[in-house]
Amino acid sequence: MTNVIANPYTSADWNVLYPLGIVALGALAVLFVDLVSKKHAPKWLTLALAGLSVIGAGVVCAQQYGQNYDAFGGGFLLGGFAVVMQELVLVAALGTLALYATLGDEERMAGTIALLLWSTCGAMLMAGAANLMTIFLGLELLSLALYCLCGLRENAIAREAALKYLILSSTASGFLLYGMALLFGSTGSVALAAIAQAPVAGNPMLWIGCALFLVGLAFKLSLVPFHAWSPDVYEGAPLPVTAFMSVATKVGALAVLARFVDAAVPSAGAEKLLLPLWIIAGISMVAGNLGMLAQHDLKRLLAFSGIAQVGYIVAALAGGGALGLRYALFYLIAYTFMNLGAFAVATAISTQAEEGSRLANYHGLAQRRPFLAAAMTFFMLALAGMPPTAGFVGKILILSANVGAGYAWLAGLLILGTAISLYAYAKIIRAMYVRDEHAHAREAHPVSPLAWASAAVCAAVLLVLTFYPLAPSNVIPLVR
Amino acid sequence: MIHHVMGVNGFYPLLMTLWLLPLAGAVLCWTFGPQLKQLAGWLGAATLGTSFVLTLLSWSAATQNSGGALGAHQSLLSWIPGFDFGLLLDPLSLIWTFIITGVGFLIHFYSIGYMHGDKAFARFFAYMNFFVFAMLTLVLSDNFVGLLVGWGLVGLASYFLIGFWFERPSAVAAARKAFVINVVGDVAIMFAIFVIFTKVGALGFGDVFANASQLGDWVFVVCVGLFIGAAAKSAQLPLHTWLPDAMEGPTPVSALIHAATMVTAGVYLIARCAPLWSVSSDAQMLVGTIGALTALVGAILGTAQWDIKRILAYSTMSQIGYMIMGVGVGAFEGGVAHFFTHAFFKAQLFLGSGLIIHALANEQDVRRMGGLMKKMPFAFVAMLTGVLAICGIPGFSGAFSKDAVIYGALAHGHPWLYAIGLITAGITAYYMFRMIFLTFFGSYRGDVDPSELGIRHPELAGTPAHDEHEPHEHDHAPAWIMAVPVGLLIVPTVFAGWLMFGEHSWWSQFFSAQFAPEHTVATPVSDVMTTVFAVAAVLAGFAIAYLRYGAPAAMEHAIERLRTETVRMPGALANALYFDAALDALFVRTSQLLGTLFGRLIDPLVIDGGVREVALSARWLGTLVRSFQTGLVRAYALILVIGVACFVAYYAIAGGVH
Amino acid sequence: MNPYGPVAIYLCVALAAALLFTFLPGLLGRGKPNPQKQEAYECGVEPTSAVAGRFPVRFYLIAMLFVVFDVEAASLYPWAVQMHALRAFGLIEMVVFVIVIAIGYAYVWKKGGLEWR
Repeated sequence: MTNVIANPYTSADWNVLYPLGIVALGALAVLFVDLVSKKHAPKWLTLALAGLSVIGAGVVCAQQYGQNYDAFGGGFLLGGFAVVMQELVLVAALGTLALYATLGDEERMAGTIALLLWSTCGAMLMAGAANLMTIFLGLELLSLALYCLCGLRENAIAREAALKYLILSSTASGFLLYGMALLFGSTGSVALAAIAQAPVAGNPMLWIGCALFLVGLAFKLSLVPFHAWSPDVYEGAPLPVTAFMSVATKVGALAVLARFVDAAVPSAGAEKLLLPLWIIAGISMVAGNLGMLAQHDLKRLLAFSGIAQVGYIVAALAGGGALGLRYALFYLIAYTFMNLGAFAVATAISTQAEEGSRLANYHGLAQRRPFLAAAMTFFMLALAGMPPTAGFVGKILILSANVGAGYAWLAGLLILGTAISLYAYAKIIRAMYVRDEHAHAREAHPVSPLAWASAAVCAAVLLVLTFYPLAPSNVIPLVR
Repeated sequence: MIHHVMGVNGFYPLLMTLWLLPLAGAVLCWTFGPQLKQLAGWLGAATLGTSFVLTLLSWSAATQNSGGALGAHQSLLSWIPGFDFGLLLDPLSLIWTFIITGVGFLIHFYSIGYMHGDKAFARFFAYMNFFVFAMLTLVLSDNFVGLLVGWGLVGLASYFLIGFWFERPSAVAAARKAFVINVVGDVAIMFAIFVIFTKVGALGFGDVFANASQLGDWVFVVCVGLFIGAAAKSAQLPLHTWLPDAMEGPTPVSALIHAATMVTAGVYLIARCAPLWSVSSDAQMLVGTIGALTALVGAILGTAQWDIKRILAYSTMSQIGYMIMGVGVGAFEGGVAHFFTHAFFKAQLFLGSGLIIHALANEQDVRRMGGLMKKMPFAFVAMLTGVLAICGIPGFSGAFSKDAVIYGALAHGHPWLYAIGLITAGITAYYMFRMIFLTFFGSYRGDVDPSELGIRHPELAGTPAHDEHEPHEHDHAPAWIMAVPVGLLIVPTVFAGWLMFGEHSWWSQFFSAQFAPEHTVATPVSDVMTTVFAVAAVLAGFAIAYLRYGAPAAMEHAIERLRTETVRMPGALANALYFDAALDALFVRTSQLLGTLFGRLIDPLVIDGGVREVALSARWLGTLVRSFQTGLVRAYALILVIGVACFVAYYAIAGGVH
Repeated sequence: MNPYGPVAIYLCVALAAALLFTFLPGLLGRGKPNPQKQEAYECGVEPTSAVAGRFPVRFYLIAMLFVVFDVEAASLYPWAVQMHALRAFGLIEMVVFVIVIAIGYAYVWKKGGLEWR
């Protein structure tokens, strides 16, 4: 006679995963439709299914806002933070779908979209993950699908990018896993929160565990010096994948990082524990922006820009506290829309034959496509943090958080980085507005309405964000 | 900190609508200008008419909501901590809104006729509506930042409208001058706001005034900063020089912006900040004195003008001097009352002069007018009521408010300002009747050769050359369009002052909750005696004007007399007391010198050099960063491993030492 | 003693043993090489090319697909052992798991992933 093993999880646990499940089912449905159709599933059907599942997940997720639940024994913490992060990932997925509608070829669409949705699942899992197991599960689900997505293009650069990403990312995952093992060994628990309770003094295993854990996360966030992969991979990957990668991986990894910082702060010696993180954030702000200066490809440029932007966001977490987290989240939201918007513009001027990511494609854009040029200018100004944009507001908030927490040097580096970045962003703006003698060579081709609309939506959201009421109590009312 | 709001919080959709409607009108006129054609004018006027009606409706709604005393506050958005934006309708802002929308409506209506046939007809109304929106933002804002935004926007609208005929170099120069001088004021206000925010930590009027004591000695600095802004906007000494030049704009613009509303923004600012002014006697002294001096200087310069619009411009400057003197010394009720009546009679005068200018095909020189009473009896009546009101003939509106201001100066312990006020009243009567006599009496001199009148350069004498922008003789809109607003304005020009009549007048009841009770001193003469003095001064001024320009003896040799007067005009008067030259020498030259210094030395060597160095080093560093991007996986892996090694080393040491 | 002490000892022993058995034969063995002895031991099949030669990419594809089913099989074993204990919940979970894998399998098959071209 065998004993019955009681199922430890109730329906409340499973309810938490509804949004994730909807996206995963959407991916399965996409594959299934492709399976049963004669040659391959029609592009519109694939995209419609995927879009429906993403929007449905978004709606369900939004309804979870305000609930607090520690699902799966603390493996997935449902709360305002997780909801906002998941919604961001879903926004990135939706934006990427719009870009794929413009650029993707029909034959591979189903497989590509399925991978994209599973990758989305991984990022969503990371958004709520609070123990080492779920973190790793989410991270690998996100990354494995992305490796394939990166290589899904018929050229050598894409394959090179995919392989590079695979090798380097696996290495980083290895470090992360090793760090997790050490953390588990020293705390005896898979929960991140256990770090706070562990004795810090004279516990080198915990410290080295933290070191490797942070290395793994820093790699996914592409913080200097763990950033080297990102420009090459961004450049090689198809445009929509780059757009997705630049937002979703960062959202997922930042969610985990925020939880880690949150868990580490109460422990004695937290300042020492987290100092390297702030240092690499500071280096990233400067080095990322410096790296932009010499680039001639929008994707590479935005890769370096992303390095710096993540530096800003991580810097906002410095000093801990709910306020820093809220400000980081505000900037992350703004960053999501700036980046997606910039990629939408790049997609709008792309053709099937040529991706519109070379800087040369932007020469004289203002003459050919005034709206797109204006939108791009807006996104660039927002990324640079110029005054009438959400980027500026976000940076001011981060500065105030830094100075308030006693990290004035981080604020100084932020300002230095911003000053450097202006030149690089201005280069794109200048390219668009300077009269182009070779304009005839680049005739305006029809612009995809979806990409155009995505750019417009991103611009509108950014505009709203700029005037978002920023009373401290009001910045992203997080439950936790 | 407890949040103080002036007025009763509530939801006032009408208030928001009346504020935004002119903006909508501006956008429509601007966007669909070519399609709307003549309808643009009607659209522009209609939005303002609606706004005016909504003003009255929200007045009653707000009064009901706040249980008698008017005070309505509508929160709109809160942005950065410490800055909430909302609309505030209290007696002070209501009076301004009333004038802006009411008089604004009449002037818009008038403009449909005046601007008829102009090729930029729709653009004109877009700008005018935009101005009204900006001005409403200024007066309805419940905080200093919103006020400053409105302040800047009205300056911008004024710039657009002065330079409306931008093909004319003089108009462009005048627009630029007005803008630059106004920016000086904007900056001063900005500094005052910085001080306020640093000391009080809030920007809302309610918060600032409730915690005004935290300003301490800084209250004087704040007042001076605000006053420099007010002086620039309201043409107070020595920042007044842009106002006469601003007459380059179309006459309705002069009537609305440079007479009735925008130039009185300074008065509004001081009245709004009454709680700050009340605690700084130094600021009261300073502002009161400058106001009185402006009144006097404006009046003196008004006696030497030949351009009918410049006469009115200097009289505007002089009358705003009165208002500033009133609110400056602490007689807020009187100062605001003078704004109220002045808006009517000055709009009346400008629109009346517009009738003449329009009829005489853009002739603005009073030497080339004369005898128009028979030709244009309606314009004569309109102008005469305006002149009687501005002179302060008892019974006409100006008398009540002006005497209140003059007496207020005495009652607040400034006998010198009182004396200046009375003298200015006399001079005002002189130059105003001079204008009337030259324009409407005697015989028509428009057909006389300009040189006989002493006009050496007709094109420089303020008489704009004919060009295609101007309405053509054969292309006139119906006369009633321009006549009706002027006729309607006669009513308040005559009667508006009666609101302020008596001990417990409607006016003082209306403002009873707005301004704290004024601390007056015992006066040697009563207010009735003040009126008597004022009337005496006015009669003296009238008598001189009559003898010089109106008497039959003067009429006979009008042409010779005008020539002599023109030629023998003292240099100081002809050059407007050399204010322009002085400002030029003091500020423009020094700025140019500084600019040259920067251009020759500092810019190429320090700034450009610095930027070049930064750019070079940034490029070098960029190349350095890029040189790590070899594209080789093994190189990347090496960087990764080195990073890991650094991390682990740090943590091993940091963790071990503990 | 530190609870991880034995692990450390085990690590040292393992390392020492690995090194020992790598180098010991070279030291102790009598070297009488001939060409046949130098060949790699390949289950009796004679090697035809260098050991470090390239495998066709198809091999990796099939190998990766194999891993998927390997993992599936590996997950089925523990479930089979505890099937009665897990009751319906376990059954449903396994069925879902197999369906998901099956869709993937069918997809790969249809897309020609299993054909050796």
